[in-house]
Amino acid sequence: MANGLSKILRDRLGLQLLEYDIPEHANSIKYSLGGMTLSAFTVLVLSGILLAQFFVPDPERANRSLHYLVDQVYLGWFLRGIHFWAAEVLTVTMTLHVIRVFFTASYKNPREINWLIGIGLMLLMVTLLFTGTVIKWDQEAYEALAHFLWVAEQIGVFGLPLTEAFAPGVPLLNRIYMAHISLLPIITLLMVGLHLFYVKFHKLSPLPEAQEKSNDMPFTRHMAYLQRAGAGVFLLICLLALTIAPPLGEEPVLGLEVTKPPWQFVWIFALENLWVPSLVIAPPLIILFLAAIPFVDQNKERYWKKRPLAMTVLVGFILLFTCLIIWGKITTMTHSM
Amino acid sequence: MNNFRLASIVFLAFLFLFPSQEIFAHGGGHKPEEKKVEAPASKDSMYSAKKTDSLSDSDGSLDNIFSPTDLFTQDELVSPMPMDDMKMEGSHNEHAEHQQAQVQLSRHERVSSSSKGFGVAVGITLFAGLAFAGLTFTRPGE
Repeated sequence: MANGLSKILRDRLGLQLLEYDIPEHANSIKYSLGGMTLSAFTVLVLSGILLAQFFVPDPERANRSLHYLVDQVYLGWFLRGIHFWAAEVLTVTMTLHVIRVFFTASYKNPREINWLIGIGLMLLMVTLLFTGTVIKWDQEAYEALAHFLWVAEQIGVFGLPLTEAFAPGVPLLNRIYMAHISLLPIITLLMVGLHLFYVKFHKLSPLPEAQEKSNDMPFTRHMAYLQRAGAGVFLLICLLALTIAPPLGEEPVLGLEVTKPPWQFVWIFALENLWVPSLVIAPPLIILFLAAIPFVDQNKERYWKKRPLAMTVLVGFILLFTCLIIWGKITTMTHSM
Repeated sequence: MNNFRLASIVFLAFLFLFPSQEIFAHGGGHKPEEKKVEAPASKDSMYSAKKTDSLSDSDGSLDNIFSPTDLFTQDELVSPMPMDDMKMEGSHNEHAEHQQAQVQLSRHERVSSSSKGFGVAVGITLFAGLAFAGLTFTRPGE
């Protein structure tokens, strides 16, 4: 009976196409971090659709609508917690995924294109995180937007579409909200599709230390593994949402600069404290650096012990960002916008 | 092996469900004092952001940047050059330091068990935990 149903579904839906072979090492945590990130993103999309039913994307009411959601709507606090913690979990899994790809040299020929798509996805996630921070419209949001607008002004004509001057009369918050709930997620979904397509096209990268080809298994086994990993991710998000409420301030006091950005952006806050123009210079430099990696690193070696320079760069990058985040958390801003 | 997994699932279920009775007892229905927050009304003032005196006196375009003025509903036009007055200063703005106390910084807080629907949230989390435990022990398709 079950087999008959399975056959009917396979015939009608073409599920047998999912039974292509992939290496067995796919079923490990380090090779499933991308799948976990996708799970967190799915939670973000679903919880975001529900949140959007209660959010008023107007500068005068945005913050109050969130307070209303959290305080008055049944399970509203939990829904917002799920959305917030899914973004936090996604940041962590995505970062670990990038580190794993670099560590195992999975960006090398012929997978350069997927590295670039991955960098694009990371930028989209950072932008979604930023726009999500701004639309809650509390003091932290206001200051984040003030910094962003300062940067937009510095880059002249390229920054114009990002300012209110581009569409006078339309509150910037509305446009940012539109980007957060439609434009950015749509681009992200398209790029995720492309990312997955190239994972299949180039096949999962082999284990760098393996002397011979590893055993294969059907992709459906990996899907089952990812299903379990996704359940674990959702459980973690639920536990966090159940115990720790995400921060939400009152409506902003305009003109003040008293908050610090979320930890994902604190490193640039620290850089800004050292040298203000780094707000404009650092992000494109980092993007350029990341995008250049597969083209600069032409060494065919993939095993980490035989790539001392790459490992030094990786450790240096992690240390630098960790130090900047810690310093940004404890330091006091010495200037204001 | 299957018996072992089954036994583990039952054990985990008890582990999750046992403390939850206590949580349910304190959650959901009991709410000592409800903070009334007015639902967003459609006729609110267009400027709801709290402005400090010094800032409202200025013609700072920073305020205009976040102005909710709408070409279709208000006479007031948004400044076409909103970034004019935004500049980097060498030291902390004096006003900012003086008025910093007015801003209540938001922080992570522990979720109160009197939050609306806390019991259901616990239930959803338990369900997620059981699903994960079930998949971990039975490993279907792996």
